[in-house]
Amino acid sequence: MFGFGTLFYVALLLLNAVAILNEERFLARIGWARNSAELYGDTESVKAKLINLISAVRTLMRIPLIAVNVVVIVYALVLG
Amino acid sequence: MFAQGFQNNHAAQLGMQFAGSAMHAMQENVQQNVGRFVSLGQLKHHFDVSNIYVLTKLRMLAFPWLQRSWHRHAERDQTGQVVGYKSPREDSSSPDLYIPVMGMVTYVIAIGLITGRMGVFRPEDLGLTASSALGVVLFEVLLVKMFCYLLNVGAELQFPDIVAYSGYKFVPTIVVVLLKPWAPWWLSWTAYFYFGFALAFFMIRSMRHALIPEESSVMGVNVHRKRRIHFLFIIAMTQFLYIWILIRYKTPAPRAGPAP
Repeated sequence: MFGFGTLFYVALLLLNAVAILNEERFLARIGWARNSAELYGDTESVKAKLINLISAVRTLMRIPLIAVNVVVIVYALVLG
Repeated sequence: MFAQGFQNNHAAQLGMQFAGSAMHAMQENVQQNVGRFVSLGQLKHHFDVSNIYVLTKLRMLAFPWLQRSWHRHAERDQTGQVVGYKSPREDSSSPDLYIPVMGMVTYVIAIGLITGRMGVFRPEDLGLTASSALGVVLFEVLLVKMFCYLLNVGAELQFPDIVAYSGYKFVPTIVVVLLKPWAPWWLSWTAYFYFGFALAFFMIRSMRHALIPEESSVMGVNVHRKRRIHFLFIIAMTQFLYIWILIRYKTPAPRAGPAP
């Protein structure tokens, strides 16, 4: 428990969970789309920061996540 | 004879010069690449400890209620400008990285010692213990970093300081780990709760100055004062959880097959 491997899996799954949130179908509907924070001009509140973080993860981590997921899946299939 | 020839040999001298400059370039390269993530100067600053400092810090961890002053002193240059904080050698309330590193190594060895006394020691347990100890620290550092991002905590809480505060939990953990195998159950429980409280108190007192600014000092920036207080409380309470995770060492099932 709490070893590096577990922590890595948890981080990977959480990143995946953030990355699959859909902009139009889900985030815009609950008011968490990227532009909804900038509309009111606040970049300091916790909600604005969270929205910023989610959109950053979605844009930045998409391609690396594909590669890392493939590696982990192959590893789990072969050795797990 | 050899030295004489060596000194007169121009080719050798040239070679020495090349080797010297190559070493120098390599050192610079290392410094640049490592320095991108953690500045070496900052690390040296955090390892600049003395015996008195270590003893004071250990006393602060065991009896934080006795400590009066938790303010970190500012380091000033000749003109009186503030250029950072004083090093641990000069200021006992400054965080260091020496105690966390030594504490973690000692923790891993203590776990190995205890499982060895019980006769169930396996070499790979050392690696697993070290991995989970590092994992706990990494988890806490990530959590604190995340909160810092959400609550606009910027320069007040530097990265090495977070690691240092996170690593102090190994000191109480070692005490409880060493008590657990032979002490009666009530003594280990008392030690667990006492040191858990002491560590929580220590974390609150030492991180308070960094996290929660004075009413009047910060203007215009949204500091989320109330949320920061909650966050500090959460950090303090999770210390119990971390110590709990760390003191549970594995006692593997007896190996299959007849005992030798």
